[in-house]
Amino acid sequence: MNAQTHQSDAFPRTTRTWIGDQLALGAIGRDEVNRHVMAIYSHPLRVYLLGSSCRTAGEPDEIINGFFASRLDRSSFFDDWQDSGLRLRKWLINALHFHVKEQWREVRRHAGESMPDVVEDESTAHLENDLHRAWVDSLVRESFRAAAASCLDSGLSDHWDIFVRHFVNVQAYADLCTDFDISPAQAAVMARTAAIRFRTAVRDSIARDGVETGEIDSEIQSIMGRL
Amino acid sequence: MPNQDANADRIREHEAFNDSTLTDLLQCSLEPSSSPVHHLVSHYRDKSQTDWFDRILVDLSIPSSLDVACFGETCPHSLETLTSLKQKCKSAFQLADEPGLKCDALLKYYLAIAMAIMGHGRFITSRDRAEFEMIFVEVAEITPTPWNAFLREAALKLCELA
Repeated sequence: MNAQTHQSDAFPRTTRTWIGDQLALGAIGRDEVNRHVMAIYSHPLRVYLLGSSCRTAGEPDEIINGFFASRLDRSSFFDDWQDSGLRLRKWLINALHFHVKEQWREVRRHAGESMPDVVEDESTAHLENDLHRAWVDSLVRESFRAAAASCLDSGLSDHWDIFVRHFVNVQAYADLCTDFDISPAQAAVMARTAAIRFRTAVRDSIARDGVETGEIDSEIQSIMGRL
Repeated sequence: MPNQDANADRIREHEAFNDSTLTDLLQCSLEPSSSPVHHLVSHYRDKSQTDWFDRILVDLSIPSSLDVACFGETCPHSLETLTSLKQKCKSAFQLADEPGLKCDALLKYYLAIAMAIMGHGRFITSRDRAEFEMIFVEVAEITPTPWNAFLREAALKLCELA
């Protein structure tokens, strides 16, 4: 074993990310990773599948479920992702392509050469956009759920309600004063607490996609620019 | 204790967002990276131990037995003491040459101001009140119970003082 390899073994790559940290915890951590990946990425993968030539390969939900069952338990799957330097969403799309081809070839092997091969898409620009929109929607919805749960667990349900009514229902803080018996300035302060919980959840999810901490703001700017 | 089923419904609602709402929500996910409070939050957020805050309280001469929920009656310091403490922390922040010491001084500075609001109903700095309302809720997120609720309450009370 040369010195370079030895150094690599001494500093395991799998501790670089939240996913690496979770996998290091064993079965509990792996369950948490799988829950996170399925919660955030099922919808965008399904949207991608429906828009691509792979849609002819079968029922989308069955393909996605089969894909997760086939890949998520492989111990090397996330190690290889971390080594790739790709965003997790991109890595999953590539892996889904491989999975569909594998499955299709298996079907062909049994059915004979009369079945056509999976046709590659000539242009993936529209697919990339659909994937992006679906991923953002999924990420924000999951972050929304996580922040809501966090606020409610902390006894901050009014803070959460004010945040939702202001940022989602677009109600002015002044319009919330009577319902909560507070001033507009206090409504803004309470919304801020919930906004911090939401902000934390969004930033965690973006980091889990493979974005370095110092690049999260520019990633969010980029995400907004593509909407 | 909130009703669990009602809470679950609130968490599930808002299944779909339009692009405008998504943009607004993402906008509030941006972090103000250059402010001192951001550095303070980043510094303490990653600490796995919880005794760091006990040390802060000792430095501020806050007894561990203090009933924080009734701070109006139990405030251990006079307004003059808190004003002097705030000034000392400000100087310590300016003199500190190590990030950890800077963050400790800044946190104590914020806490001295919050204690003056909660204990004496006074805002003891000439700086912008709205800025401190937001600082308190940011710092509350990395502060252990019951001081997190104390800081959130100080932010709300500061709105009333304005």
